[in-house]
Amino acid sequence: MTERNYWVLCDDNCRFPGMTREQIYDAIAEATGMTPTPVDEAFITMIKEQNANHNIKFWHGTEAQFNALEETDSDTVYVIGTNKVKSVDALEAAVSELQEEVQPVERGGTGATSAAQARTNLGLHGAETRTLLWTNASPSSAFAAQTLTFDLSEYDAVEIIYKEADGYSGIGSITRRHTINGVSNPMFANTNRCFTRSVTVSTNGVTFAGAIYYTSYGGSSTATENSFFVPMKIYGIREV
Amino acid sequence: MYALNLDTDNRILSVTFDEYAPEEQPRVETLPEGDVTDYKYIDNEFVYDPVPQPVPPEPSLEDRVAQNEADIAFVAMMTDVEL
Repeated sequence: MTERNYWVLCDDNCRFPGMTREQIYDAIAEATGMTPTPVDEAFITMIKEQNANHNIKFWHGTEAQFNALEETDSDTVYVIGTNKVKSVDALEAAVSELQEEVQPVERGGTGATSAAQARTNLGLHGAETRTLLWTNASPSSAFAAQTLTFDLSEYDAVEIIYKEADGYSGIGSITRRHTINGVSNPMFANTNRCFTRSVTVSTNGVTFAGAIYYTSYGGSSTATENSFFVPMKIYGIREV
Repeated sequence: MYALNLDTDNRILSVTFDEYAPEEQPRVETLPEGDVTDYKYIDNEFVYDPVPQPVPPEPSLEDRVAQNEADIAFVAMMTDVEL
């Protein structure tokens, strides 16, 4: 059987070849790999992906529907949860807006627009950091008058832990916080004698005077005892 | 490694660990036995040179009087004796 030719005539009597419905279906099938249904119900179920030059499909549904799928197809683009596919610019704008938005504490944010309010919201009011600046590598040795050099300009205070004095019971380890003010700060401890050592903390270090004790109750005579108030560790304290 | 904090006569005042000391302080791998302040560090060696133990001064007359008054007050307080 020979194939019929159909012609389309224009107003100027020019003619050109026309196509039957079957020929149109065949052309679509060849182009898309799919045989379309009748025109009134027709959907193009596959489109050509331009990079790998292969056919891909679109699937749209809810997350529950997606999860219910028994298997997925690597040639199908799945659109979940929205019937609007936003442009990349729109998505970036939405992300930027979310980043600018103050997130509540329960969602991992601070719920605040200032550092002070954030500390309050997070329960950090009064919190501080401690940085170990120095540690005594020979704690059984005496500790004579001396200066330990540090840059303390970024700290709010210094905390020094002194060891329990050898041979004197009842004192225990002493922790003392010093203000960074360059002022001599005497410490006292009483056992069977009254001991004292003055400490001065400035922005460039800690200066220890020698430790002394009073040789008699109520008197003013003193003797050196550098095994007392021996510093073990020095911390820099910074308020958060 | 240890860092030495030295006095002007090279006596060891204190020691700490490498990371806590200024660069200019000398570093050593080991420390001498006992109280490090009994040593000086001279020409990269520890020299034993203990500080003489200070002799407590004799209490002055003023101090002895103050001590006696304190002792009397303490005894009186403990025995309910009115002075």
